Amino acid sequence: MNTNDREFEEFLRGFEPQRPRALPAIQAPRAEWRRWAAAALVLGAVGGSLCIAVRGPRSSRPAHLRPASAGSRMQPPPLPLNLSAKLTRAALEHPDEFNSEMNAAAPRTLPRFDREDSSLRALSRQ
Amino acid sequence: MSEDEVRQLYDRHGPALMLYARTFVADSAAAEDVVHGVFLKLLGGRSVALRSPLAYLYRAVKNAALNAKRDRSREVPLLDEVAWLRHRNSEPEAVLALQQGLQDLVEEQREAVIMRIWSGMTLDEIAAATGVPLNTIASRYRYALEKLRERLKPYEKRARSEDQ
Repeated sequence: MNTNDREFEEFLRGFEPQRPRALPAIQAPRAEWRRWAAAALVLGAVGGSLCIAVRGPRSSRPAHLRPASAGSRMQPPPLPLNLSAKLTRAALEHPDEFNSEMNAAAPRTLPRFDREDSSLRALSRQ
Repeated sequence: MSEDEVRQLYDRHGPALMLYARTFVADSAAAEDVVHGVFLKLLGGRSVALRSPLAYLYRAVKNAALNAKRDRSREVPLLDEVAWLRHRNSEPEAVLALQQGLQDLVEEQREAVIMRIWSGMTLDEIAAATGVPLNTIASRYRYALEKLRERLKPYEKRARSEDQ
């Protein structure tokens, strides 16, 4: 290649091709998997806590601290698998809706502490 | 390749690859989509070691551009007013002359020029990337330079006199 060619190459390099727009940020697949796993763990822990809070441990609890009788207390049904998946998806994709759903479900599933035979009332008397 | 390496390749060679894609498709937006698609695929896939990333990129962009051209063959192309290149001394006539010159080259000659001038590849690297013998690449490149020089002669003379 002679000098003229090199000079012409430099002249051509003075022209700059149009720059494409910036690449978007990419979320790594591993981070996505971890998010799903964390959400499933949290839901499992919440579900498990709810079950324990309602049923209570089978132990030598004093009578007045035992949960209310079967006729009057509300047994929350175990979370079906498809509902658990739906809640996980809602937690990740629609956090506001998830919070609303959980707040609406709380009165139905959490134990009522304003009843005469509630554990909290019994503890407050002691 | 790590995400950082891919993004560095995009910063360094994105413009040249977009120019290359532009020679196949109807407009700059389509060329940009082609290049974006290739790099997003590279970012989203599993990390693989590429022996020659540039060769892979040019091949991938060409394939994607040809697919895009085939998929949009029934569409009527709009007039693309976006120039393929720009010049630091703001000579629009020179830019248009170069753009026309590139369009008038045969595909193999245009490919060699873009790879050499704007991606900084050596003729050896271009030969390896295209799978074509070095002598053939050298011939293609020489003919391409001669044609472009003929078209850009007045602008090159003006640029040299301004530099002196």
